[in-house]
This record gives sequence, structure tokens and C-alpha cells, in this order.
Amino acid sequence: MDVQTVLETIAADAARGEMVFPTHAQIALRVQRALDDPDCSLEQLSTLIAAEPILSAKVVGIANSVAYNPSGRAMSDVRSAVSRLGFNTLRSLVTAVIIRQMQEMSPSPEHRALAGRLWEHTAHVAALARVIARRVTKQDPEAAFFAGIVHEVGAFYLIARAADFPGLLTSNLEQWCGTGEAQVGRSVLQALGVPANILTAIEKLWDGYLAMPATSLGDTLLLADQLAPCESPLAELDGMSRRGMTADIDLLVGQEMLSAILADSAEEVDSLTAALKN
Amino acid sequence: MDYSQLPTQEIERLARTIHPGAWAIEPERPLATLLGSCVAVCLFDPQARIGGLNHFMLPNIRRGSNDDVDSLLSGAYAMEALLNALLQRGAKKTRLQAKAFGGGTIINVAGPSMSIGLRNAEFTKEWLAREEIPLLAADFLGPWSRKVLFLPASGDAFCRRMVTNMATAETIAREEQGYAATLVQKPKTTDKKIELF
Repeated sequence: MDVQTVLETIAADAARGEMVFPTHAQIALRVQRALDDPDCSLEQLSTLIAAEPILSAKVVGIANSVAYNPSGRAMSDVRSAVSRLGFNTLRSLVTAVIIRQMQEMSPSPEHRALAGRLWEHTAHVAALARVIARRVTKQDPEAAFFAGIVHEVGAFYLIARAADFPGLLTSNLEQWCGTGEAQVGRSVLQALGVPANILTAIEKLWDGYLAMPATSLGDTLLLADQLAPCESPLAELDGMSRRGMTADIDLLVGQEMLSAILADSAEEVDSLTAALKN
Repeated sequence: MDYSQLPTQEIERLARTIHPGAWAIEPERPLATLLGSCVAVCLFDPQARIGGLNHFMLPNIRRGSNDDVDSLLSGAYAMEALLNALLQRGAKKTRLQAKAFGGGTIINVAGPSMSIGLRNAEFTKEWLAREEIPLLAADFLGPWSRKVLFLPASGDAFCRRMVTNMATAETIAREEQGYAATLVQKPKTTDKKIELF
């Protein structure tokens, strides 16, 4: 199999906008359009979200996580949750649901399991990126959270399409980590209408050079990706995984070390990761 | 030219490559190095805006000999060569800051090479702590090879963990092993070249 040709085909399909999403994702896409409408009221948005059980559960779950609810006052209705989170976070959550639904696009249980593991990695990266943005790089935490959620969207699309190209995921995917991921990812991100600053951050992730100390939104995402306790399963398929080896990455942030900041923020990261994974 | 405004790919293209066992100081031109189990340390004086980078490893220790002492001296030589050169160019030791990278395990996961990267990383941290040079950023260990870019005029450093296929791993390992062989063969006269302080 010519992996490069397959990757180019998949990228071209995504660029043409030929992405068919399952029903739940269709509702999420409607919510996304509503978020883009400046006249959309909180009431309208809450009603729309309440019609989609997965999105409703995620919105309430995230609103009750330590990251958004440090005082511990739990809420159980969508309207209050929407009001607490704000439109930017909602946009991240809607995108999260759309990406999560891409898992259902594959007819193969094996591929769906792979997408499930990829989501676990995504959830960790998004949660870590939000904390790193706030406490280390001083970037917009919501932008970092969103970048984390969409950073593997190309890989989700690849897995969703893998059944059309038998043997793709068992062949040497070195080209995926080279140029393929950027090719496919760029097309899917543009099809999803991801903002330019997020695209720039993800381009930085693909470029792979982490500025030490980390400063930009791209560095925030790259650092979160490197610190995530579970890596993308595509890295393992490629025979390039960490193989259980630990890495020792640290930075001085003001008077504190990054490792100490992360230890201090573990509960916040865990709560956010869990809310996204559920 | 303000290299810090360039994209990293362009910095990489314009950089001077530092091979295993070497060190360099440049007024402006970026320095780059490719690491497997070796370590690269970037030292920078933010006031004098002078910086340099080295690329070294400790030779293998054989039990029952004095080679462990030689091994540490060899590591210290690599660090002090860079340090002395920076001081000669006007850097002040009390102002120096460090960033360090490498110590990966890119081949023979189960073999003795597993500990080589760790030993190099530990040595680096201990040496810097002993010399009271703050380590501002580090990325050590793991299964990756690494490409490091350093801008000596600004102190900016960039580290890219690299997907290492077998062919690349073998190339890096061959280069590092060639360097390791020269360390083992080196006559014990380095003390004459070392200025300890």
C-alpha cells in the first residue's frame, strides 16, 4: 500500500468537506452554528443543547468540575451550566462532542477502540493545556483547552476512514508523523471552521519544536501533548511509542518549577479530564 | 539578523551543526545538534548576551578500575571547556543560566544502553548544581532522539523530540559510538588541559 497516496486522498476528501457525521454530531453542529450567531440567546442555546443528551451531560459535567467550579457548588441544569461556562467553553465542548462522534463513523470495533484511546489522550492534553496556559505560559486558558480538544482531529478522521483503505493502520505510518498528520489535520480543521490562532498553535505542534521556556499558545499545546500520561495510540502503531519510558521535562516558571505547578494542579487536571472522558 | 524572529525551520536551516564531543560559541549564528543518549547543555549570560552549546557523553564505566573517576573527569572536561570559553569572552559565571537536553534511549531498550542516557542526564544536573548554575529548562530521557536549536545572542532554545526510525537511530548511535570510542582511547593527559575551579 502506498501510504502517502492514501493520506493525500483522505486529506483531499476532508478539504472538499465530504465529512458525514452521525446524528448526535449533527445536533452538535447546529449548536456550533447557533454559537456563531450573534443574536442567539442563552435560552435558545440551552434548549438546543438540552435536546442532545451527550452534549448536555458534558456541559453540566464540565460546569461542575473543579476547574470551573472551585467552590464546589454543584448544578444540575443545562441553563445554569451554560451561563457558568460561557460561549467560548461551550464552543470547545460542542467541538469535543463532534470529534467524539467521529468514533462512531468507523464500522470496525477495533478502529472504534483505537479512537476511544485517542479520545483519552485528547482529554488529557486539553485539560493539561488549560492549566499550563493559566499557570505557566499565561495564554488564554479557553483557547488552549479548545486547541487541546481539536489537536488530534486529523487522526480521528484517519481512523474513521481507515476501513476504506484495508491495511492502512497496520502499515508503516511513519509518513503520518512526518507530513501526513499535518496534511489531513489541516483539511479537517478548516472544514470544522477552527479559528486562525488555534490553527497556528496546532501547526506549531506539528512542527515539533518546543521553546524552552514555553511561551506561545503553540508551546502550551506542545508541552501538554508531551506531558500527557497517555499518548496517541497512533504513536504506538508506528512503533515509536514511549514504551513505558518516562521523560524528565521541567522548566523554571518564575520561582517555581513546572513539575511543582503540575503536582499542585493535579486535581484540576483530573476533574477536567474525567468530565471530558465521560 | 534577528534570528529569534524566524520560524524554527529557518533557524534550523541556518544553524551551525555541533557534532558529538564538540562545543561552540557563536555571536549570533544559531547552533544545532542532534542527540541520542548524549546530552547538550546551552549556557547563556543574559547580561553580556553571550552563549554557547556543547554535546557530550560520559564514557562507559568498567567495574574494578579507576575509570569511573576518568568518566566523570571527561564529563567535567566537556562542561568546563564551554564554561572557560564563555568566561574568556566576557561572561560572568554568577550570571550564567543553563538549558539542557538529551539522554534518550533510542536503541537496545533492554540492553546496557538503557542507563547511558540516564547517567549523562544525572551527571549534567549534578554538575550544574555543584557549579550553582541554574537549570532553567530541561528535557531528558525517554525513547526519542532530539534536535536542539540554540540562539546564542538571545538564549532562546528549542527542542524537538523526534520520531526515530531504525535507520535514523542507527546513524545517531553510530556517530555517538564513534565518539564514545575516542573517549575510551583518550590518553589520561586531559588534566593538563582542564582548568578546575
